[in-house]
Amino acid sequence: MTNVVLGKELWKRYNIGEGIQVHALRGLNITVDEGEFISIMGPSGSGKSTLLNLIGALDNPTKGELFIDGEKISSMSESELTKMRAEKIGFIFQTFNLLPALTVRDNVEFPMRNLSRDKKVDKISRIKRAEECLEIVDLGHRMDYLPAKLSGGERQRVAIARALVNHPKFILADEPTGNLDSEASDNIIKLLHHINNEGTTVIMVTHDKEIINNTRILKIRDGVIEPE
Amino acid sequence: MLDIAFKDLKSKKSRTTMVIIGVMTCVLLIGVIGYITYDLQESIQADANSIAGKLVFEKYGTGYPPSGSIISENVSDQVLANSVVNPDKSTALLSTALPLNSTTSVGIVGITQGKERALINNIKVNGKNSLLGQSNNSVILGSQAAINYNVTVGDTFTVDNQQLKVIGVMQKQSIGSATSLDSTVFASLQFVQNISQSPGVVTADIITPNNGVSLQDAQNTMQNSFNSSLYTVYTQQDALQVLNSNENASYVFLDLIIAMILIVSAILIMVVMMMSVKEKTKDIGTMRALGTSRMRIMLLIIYESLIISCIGGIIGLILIIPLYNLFLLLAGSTSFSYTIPLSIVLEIAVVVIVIGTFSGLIPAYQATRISPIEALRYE
Ligand SMILES: Nc1ncnc2c1ncn2[C@@H]1O[C@H](COP(=O)(O)OP(=O)(O)O)[C@@H](O)[C@H]1O
Ligand SMILES: [Mg+2]
Repeated sequence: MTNVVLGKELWKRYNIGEGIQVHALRGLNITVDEGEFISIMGPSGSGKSTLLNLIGALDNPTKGELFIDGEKISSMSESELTKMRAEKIGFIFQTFNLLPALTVRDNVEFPMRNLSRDKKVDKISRIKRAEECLEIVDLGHRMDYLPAKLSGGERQRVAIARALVNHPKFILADEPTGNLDSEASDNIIKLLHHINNEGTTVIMVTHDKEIINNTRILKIRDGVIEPE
Repeated sequence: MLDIAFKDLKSKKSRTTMVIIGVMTCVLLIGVIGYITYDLQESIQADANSIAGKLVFEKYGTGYPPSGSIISENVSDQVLANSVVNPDKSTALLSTALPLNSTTSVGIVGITQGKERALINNIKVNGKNSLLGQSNNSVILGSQAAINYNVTVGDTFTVDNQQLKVIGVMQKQSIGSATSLDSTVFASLQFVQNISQSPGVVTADIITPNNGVSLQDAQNTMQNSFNSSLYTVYTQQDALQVLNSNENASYVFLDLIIAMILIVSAILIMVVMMMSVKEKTKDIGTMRALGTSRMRIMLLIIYESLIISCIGGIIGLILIIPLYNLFLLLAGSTSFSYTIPLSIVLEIAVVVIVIGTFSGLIPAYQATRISPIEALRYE
């Protein structure tokens, strides 16, 4: 069986000008199996977001090999990475990042428009699927709302529905509860566990020790993962 | 992406409305200028049409209309006596301007009595359509002339101490601005020679070829019969060419204004779209993270600028007719136009689509350069 994520000796170097370089990742190894719930923890500046960018096919590593669902993405072109993100990855952001001009339903439907022609379904099926995902996060009664009308917790639930909509290989969540109160946080984590129990792999970055129960914890420090 | 473009614009109502009004204003200006050009060409065409199927014999180098031309009545008589000339429908004419009052003058054209058909062949005339057998000071007016001097059939009016008696008023010839026929006063040749103190001279001859003689043959015959360095024979086509070249400066000027309006509206849309792309950095970055291709981001921005431009164009088109009529009203015209010439509609359609697309290109390119990583960091 292939790993959902397999990273070997991942290096990421940033040039911050005047010849100065920052090594955000220093030969990091990571494997994520299907169905896992991973919590990535570590101090600020340790490379968590950098790692998430690589796993999220948003960026290429400077060195090393990275596979998503068995496909080597570490040397993919920009447009191949874009296709990868649309098809295999669900994103949840700390700041929710819903599109403000679109209703809740349209926000959730949006990622389905990004699928390549052979995988794209018609508008009616897309709406149906979007509504299905909104029912999962218990927001069937908010479909016609604009994001501005929702609470933070509700917005993040919309984001979760949006992340699910294309049946991704895994969901990436960068500090998903960072902007939420503890009650809303609990709610989000329960939802993520529910989704995980249904079979979707979840990879989450967090500071919050309260929410990491029943997950596999990876501690990252100075650009490498500490031995468990 | 089109639906999202619409929703995006809707969510920024005041800005969208502002740009649309800007584009609409530009379209209105382009439309009014289009109308002006159109009317100018129409009236030129109508002027030229007044000699359709005819020739104008005039002094070499005086152009058309032959206002500066002077030929002697002797030459004119020889011209009209030529065998290719239809004597019933040809006439000498003498055109002059006489002061009506301190500020206005009257364009008055003397023609041989009984030969009015040389000029007003197909035009309906209220009152009498011939000066033959009428008193010496009788005149037939073009429709615009009658309006200008505020007279109708049976009235008299005074020009340069001469009483003129209106025996006929022609019906309007062209739409829009008055053509020279519309604003002309026709009197007898002799009368005009007297009042302008030009005995024995005429301005030009209007010639209708005899039955069975083609216009081309008549033109060649006339041109060969008289010294071509002294006299010119014009056809309608020649006149049209001259008239249009007289307006070349106006056309260039109007084109220049249109070019400037185009640039202004393109820059307006472009600047606003660039602002809006900047503002939407986070949203565009989110879309990119969710797997939207650069191509589709580009499309979204171009759609938005196209939509703005097209809506501005449509509203502009709707408002052009009332605005142009207001313009005519302010310019003192009494006749209005209630349809937009197709050429103007097409021109605006092309302008709106081209401007919408082109002014969206740079902002769209900017949008494709937004990195999702940077954008997600963006707060
Ligand atoms: N785009 C960038 N340019 C330069 N340096 C960066 C960039 N992104 C991250 N870094 C640096 O890389 C290191 C790791 O950053 P990051 O992955 O954001 O850490 P974390 O998410 O764990 O706080 C930090 O020192 C940060 O300053
Ligand atoms: Mg971070």
